[in-house]
Amino acid sequence: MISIFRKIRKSFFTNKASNYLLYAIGEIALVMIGILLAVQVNHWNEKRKQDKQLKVILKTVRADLVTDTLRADGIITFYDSINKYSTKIINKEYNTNSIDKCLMCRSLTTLYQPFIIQDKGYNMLKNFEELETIEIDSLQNNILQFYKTMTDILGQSNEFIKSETLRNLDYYKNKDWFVDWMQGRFTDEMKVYFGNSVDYRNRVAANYILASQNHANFVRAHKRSAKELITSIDNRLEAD
Amino acid sequence: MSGFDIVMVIAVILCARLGVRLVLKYRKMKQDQKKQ
Repeated sequence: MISIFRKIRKSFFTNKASNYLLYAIGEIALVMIGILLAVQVNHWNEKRKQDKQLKVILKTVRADLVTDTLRADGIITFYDSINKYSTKIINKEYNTNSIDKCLMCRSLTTLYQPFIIQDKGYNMLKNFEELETIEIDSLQNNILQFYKTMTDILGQSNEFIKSETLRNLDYYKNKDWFVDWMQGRFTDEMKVYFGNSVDYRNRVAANYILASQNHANFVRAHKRSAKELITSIDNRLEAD
Repeated sequence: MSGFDIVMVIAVILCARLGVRLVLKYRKMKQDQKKQ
């Protein structure tokens, strides 16, 4: 190949200007090929670096999802455990005489567990999408959509149950038995209120709907989707 | 040094080399013409 080029170049060693022009065009073409090659190599290198960065981000997202799943397990267990007491209060299974046997029953409306999701990987992925102009594949899209939806839903749900719990606590604060309730004692007034009042049943029912049903279901949905995403990320990381 | 900078350096080197080669070749062509 090199000898062919040499022959061509030697053939240009004539004194004609047209030959010089041809030679010049050949040289320019070679320089252009050289620059294009450099651009291509640079492109490959950039892509390799982007893939490496994306892999790190996916690993971070995966770690976040695993942490979230563990936290979700705890929250689901918590709400499952208080659900049975809420149902008993709603179904009037306790009365003034038997309510003191259920220590948990008087705290049903003042307990809540917010679900704060880990968003370090999500933020990294968002910044990565903004910085890089590479195509967004389905996995990245799924992760972004999942976090966008879940952040909004869980944020609102956390706010709802927090305000409901604080409202209940404010209401109890005005009761004479508030200090006894806080210190874990059971007075007769408390037995009447927790065991027999419609107001407390309504509060428990509202809390049951907001926290045990809605909030816990959102957490369950998050856990389900997070597990699917973890599997997808694992498949992607294994494939690379 | 970013990837784009490296490409620019390569491009400048190649263009400079092209310029030198073209000028040298032109001078050589002129000298040959004078000899003839």
